Amino acid sequence: MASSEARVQDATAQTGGVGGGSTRLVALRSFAEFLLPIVVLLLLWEAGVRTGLIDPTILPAPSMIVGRAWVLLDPSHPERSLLLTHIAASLWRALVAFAIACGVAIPLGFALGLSPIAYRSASPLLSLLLPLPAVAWTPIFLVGFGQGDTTIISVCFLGAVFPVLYATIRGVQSISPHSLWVVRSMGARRSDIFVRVLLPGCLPALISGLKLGMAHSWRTLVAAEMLAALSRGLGYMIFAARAYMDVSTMFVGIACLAVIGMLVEHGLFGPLESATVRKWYGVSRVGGAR
Amino acid sequence: MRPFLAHGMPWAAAAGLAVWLSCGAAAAPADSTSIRVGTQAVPPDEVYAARDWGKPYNLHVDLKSYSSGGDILKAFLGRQLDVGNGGSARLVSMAAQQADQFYIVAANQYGGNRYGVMVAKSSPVTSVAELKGKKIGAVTGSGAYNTFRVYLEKNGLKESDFQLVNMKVEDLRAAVQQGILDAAVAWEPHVAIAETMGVVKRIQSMEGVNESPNFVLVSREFADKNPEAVTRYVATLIDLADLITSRPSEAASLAVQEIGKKGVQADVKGLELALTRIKMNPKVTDTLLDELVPIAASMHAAGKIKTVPDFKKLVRHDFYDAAVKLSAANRAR
Repeated sequence: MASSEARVQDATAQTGGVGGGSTRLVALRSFAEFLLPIVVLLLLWEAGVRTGLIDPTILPAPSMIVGRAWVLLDPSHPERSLLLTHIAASLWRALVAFAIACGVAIPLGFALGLSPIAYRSASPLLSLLLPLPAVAWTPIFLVGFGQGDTTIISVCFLGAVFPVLYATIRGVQSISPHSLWVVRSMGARRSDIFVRVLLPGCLPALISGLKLGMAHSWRTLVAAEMLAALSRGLGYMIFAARAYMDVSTMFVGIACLAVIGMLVEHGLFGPLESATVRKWYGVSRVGGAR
Repeated sequence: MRPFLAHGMPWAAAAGLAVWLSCGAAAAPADSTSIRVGTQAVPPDEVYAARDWGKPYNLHVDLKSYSSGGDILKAFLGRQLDVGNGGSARLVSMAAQQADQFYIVAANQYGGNRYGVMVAKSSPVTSVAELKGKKIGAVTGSGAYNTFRVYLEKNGLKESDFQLVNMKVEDLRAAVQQGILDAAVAWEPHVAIAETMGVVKRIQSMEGVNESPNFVLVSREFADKNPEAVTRYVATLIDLADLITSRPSEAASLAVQEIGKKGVQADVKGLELALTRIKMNPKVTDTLLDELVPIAASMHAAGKIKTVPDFKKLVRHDFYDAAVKLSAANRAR
């Protein structure tokens, strides 16, 4: 959605700018179109429960879930909000795992992407590890680290590292060697080559990898928290609610996971991706690099 | 005391415990000590977590929650915990392979009444015999499942008379309610909560079939170095058992309060019903220990363990005996 919005904004700008009001209207319409299927589904679901077609002890109505979320959110005392505590714990774990994954995968991806020999050596190992679901490592980490953040972050790290690594390698490999030769022949230093050629060249692929990495980290987190969390986290909350048949709280946890996942993708990576894509479109229009 | 001496506990530790007991275990212990205990999402553990039971004994109980009993035992064997608990097959395996790692110091929850067969509220079925040929859900290998097998045997029925479906205990209620299963064998609080939700009814309790006990295990290394901490901890278990047995309603309220801290809502009535169906008495009896023998024998026959362990040699009754005095003194204060 963010990319299409950006393209619409670009198109508006290119046609001479129809005006801020019109752009806002387009954005609002785009947002409404995005929300419509979700709202329709929620209304049908609510109607299903209220008419007795759906058993609320199996599938509680959206209004019940919202009500439960409100109680857990405790807006009058946000500092004591249980839901915010669980969300904060989950976000912290996922972001730490993602940051470590980026710290490892991006430099390694550049190294492997730039050195064919290193890539050929590492490729079999990567091919072996890539198909393994990160959650499958949880029992191993549980034995090694026990329950707690170390295990959860390690599992999420494994979920995030491979998409970022592969995207970086592909991004670097997609840059034509001619570009590097040209810049070198003009006397560019290594740092210039990295900043002006390698980084911009692989950025679109890298951002896709970062998006995938964060999504994998977030998805893996829930399963890891269900198995390894000691006290906090959305996965832990869902698991604890399941033990006492508190279906509404389980759905609150699931809804939070979906909404936060969407917010991270559209709010964090969406603008970043749009900016990159716009930049490259701009470059192609003017017919060359700086 | 004899079994523990026979198993070579250092004399110094034994002397220490004896001196400590003679110096007045009945008085409030002055020195502070701590113990690491694993808990899981079961009502007695929630009640335990809700209150500082160690405070009257100057004991800091460091509680760590785990998703299952198996995870607790893994952490216990990995020395991340001083106290774990286990029953049936897991305890038998540990007793057969790592008997020198732990003592059995108390009984945890037990009693056949904590297992039950439930059917949908609208089901016309009123007995297990009527379920012949139908689908029954259970967690295979669990204490509830093994007890149900004994029940069938005692009542002239066989497993093959039914279609047994292996499922997670948390999923049984919904499966019964939706008609995916005709009945399910589950443990508390799952049966009681589902009953109070008004979606299932219990048609058979496993009361009288067996006791299927869980036992409290303490690391030998810890117990030998910190005998007073173990005694104080067992005293807290006596106090806990007293509350659950004599005032289940208050215990259920405490459990609901503790569960609420996780952001989860539980029904007080459901938990109270569950607590009344769970036996809580930390005293380890021969009757309870004897229930491990047939499990060990079947595991031995299946080649899973080399010998049938002598469970009585693993028990340390002295901690319980001292804890009874300590708990009584605390109540008298």
